[in-house]
Amino acid sequence: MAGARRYRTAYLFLAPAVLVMLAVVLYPFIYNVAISFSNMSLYHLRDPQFIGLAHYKTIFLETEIWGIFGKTILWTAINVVSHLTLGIGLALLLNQEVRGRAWFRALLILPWAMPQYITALTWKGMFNYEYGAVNLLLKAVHLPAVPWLSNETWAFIAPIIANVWLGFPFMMVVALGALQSIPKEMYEAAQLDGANWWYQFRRITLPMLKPVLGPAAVLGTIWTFNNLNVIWLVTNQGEPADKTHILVTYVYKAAFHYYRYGYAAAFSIVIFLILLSFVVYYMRIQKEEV
Amino acid sequence: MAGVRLSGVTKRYGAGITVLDNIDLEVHDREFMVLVGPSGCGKSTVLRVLSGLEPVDAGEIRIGDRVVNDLAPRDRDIAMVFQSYALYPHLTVFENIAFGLRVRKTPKQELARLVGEAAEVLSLSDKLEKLPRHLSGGERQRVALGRAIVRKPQVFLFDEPLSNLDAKLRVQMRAEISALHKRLQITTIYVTHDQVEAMTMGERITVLNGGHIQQTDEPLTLYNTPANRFVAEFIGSPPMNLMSLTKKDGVFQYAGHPLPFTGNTGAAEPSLDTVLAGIRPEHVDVAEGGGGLPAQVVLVEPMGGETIVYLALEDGTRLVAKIDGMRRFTLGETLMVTFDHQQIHWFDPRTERRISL
Ligand SMILES: Nc1ncnc2c1ncn2[C@@H]1O[C@H](COP(=O)(O)OP(=O)(O)O)[C@@H](O)[C@H]1O
Ligand SMILES: [Mg+2]
Repeated sequence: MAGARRYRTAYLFLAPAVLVMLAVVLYPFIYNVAISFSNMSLYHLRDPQFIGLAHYKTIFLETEIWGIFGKTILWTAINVVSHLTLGIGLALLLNQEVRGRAWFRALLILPWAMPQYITALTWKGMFNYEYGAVNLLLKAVHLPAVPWLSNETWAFIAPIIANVWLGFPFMMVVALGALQSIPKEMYEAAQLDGANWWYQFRRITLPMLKPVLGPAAVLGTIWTFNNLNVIWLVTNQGEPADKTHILVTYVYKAAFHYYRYGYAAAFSIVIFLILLSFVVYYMRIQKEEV
Repeated sequence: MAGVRLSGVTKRYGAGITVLDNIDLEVHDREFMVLVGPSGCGKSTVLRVLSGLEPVDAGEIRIGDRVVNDLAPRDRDIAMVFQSYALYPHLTVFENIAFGLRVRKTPKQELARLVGEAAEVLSLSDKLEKLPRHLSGGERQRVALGRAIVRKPQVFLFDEPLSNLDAKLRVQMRAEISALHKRLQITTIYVTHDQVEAMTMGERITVLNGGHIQQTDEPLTLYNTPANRFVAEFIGSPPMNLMSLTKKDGVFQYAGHPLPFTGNTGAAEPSLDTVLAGIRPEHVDVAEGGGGLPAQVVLVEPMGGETIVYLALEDGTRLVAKIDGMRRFTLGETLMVTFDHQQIHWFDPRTERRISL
């Protein structure tokens, strides 16, 4: 009781934040779970009925879903790996004593500082078959134009390029911060021991980046997995013929173009569970390492 | 085994800053040489050019009979212990010590044996599987030593290795490093800003200031015959008293008083009008009466075996005296100060070099 009184002021200060969190996170989540068991749609907007796990069954029986799931994994993996390699690579370069380092750094952070949808739409324009900058450039070096947005494969590659562009600065900034916190003497000691650049990179730099880049990569994975904007905008809502969807764009379309609210809610729960198991898995690995 | 010789070594950073100016330094094979000087005088830079981490602008560096100016750090066969220890936080003690051996692709069994030996010498055998963050300061220090000795290099470099330890541990590690050197007999250059460390550890000491070598000598020689004012003031604690004397009527006087020397004063007349007289605190004698310079007691620091007495002369000049601990002093008391002439160090006030009177 004494404890409750002691913390009363603290709870009072926390209350507004807690209330807002309940209103914008917990309530929608519970509501979402509820309608995932109902047949709510445009026909049953006012009179949804409980239909149990029917939507979940549909989701797992739809063969198309597995393709989309695979594409989501591919999309996430390619993006995160590219973000990490590009980010670390550029951070290594920026960590050198180069002239105009501050300028390069500012320039390289720019893609990240832009609003995502502006960048996405700009890339969409650049991928235009006839007038887009990318094809004009290809033509200038006598390469054939690429049907960026009309061919199923290219239309998947295009948003990946756009999202790699959008995502590497974050990893670069994180990696650069981590690099700068590695004491110079560690490399000097290694140098005296005879370690070359590659050896130092593998045995010192990478392991010392890991505690910082690990969590950043997990965040990046979640963001990318759930990245609606880029695919949605660059491929113009999953064109051609809904062949370029990842899970979230598929759900978004189901909910807001086809008004299949119950179905989309169930689908969202599935996505949530996938990410949750990923995070739990990561945390377990991390705990083992410590 | 190898000696080290720097000849005319100069190091500049950028155009303006000369950090090492024409350094000549010879360290004999198996010698323990201490490099001492105030912060920023270029001690670390000497080690860095020696190890090859920094190139020199002029001069020659020899290790053994090889000129190593153009050799990469790894080919100089040198091991360095950094002030920060530079341990790899993600590697165990074993892997930290083994790092250099792994780089050199030492066979597995050989590697385990060498690391085991080094750990044994440094009493780290039961810590091999721990990470650096789970070690105490002294243990980390030992791991850093282990990493250096495991490779059996030609030369050891130490850059202020004890400055992160508490006073008690420092005294203990001081002895351990000295013992380690006796046992391994590897040429060592040990950098410190602490003159006590220098005096207690060095077989010879080199005093560095402002990128210039001031003096290289054995500890007692350095203490008893400092080559210049800087060395005189830097070595010894509390530092040497310095008084500026002016010649009057053919005798050097202090503020109008002929200096109250005891013992032989029959020295040759110098050609100078003023001199600097340096008197170590233990050579300042005080008495309650009699002749001498009157001085007031302003601070007393009893240390037990001896007492440090801070005195103010009539014109305000401070003198420090180290007196036997049995005597008691009261603040404000006036004492008569005398000096033993035999124990005075004379310096030319313009060149600040040692002269004899
Ligand atoms: N990389 C550098 N660039 C410019 N000046 C430096 C550099 N490294 C050291 N210095 C300067 O050289 C002088 C000597 O440095 P250092 O050898 O580290 O001194 P110490 O080890 O005796 O304290 C210092 O004045 C320091 O500011
Ligand atoms: Mg230093």
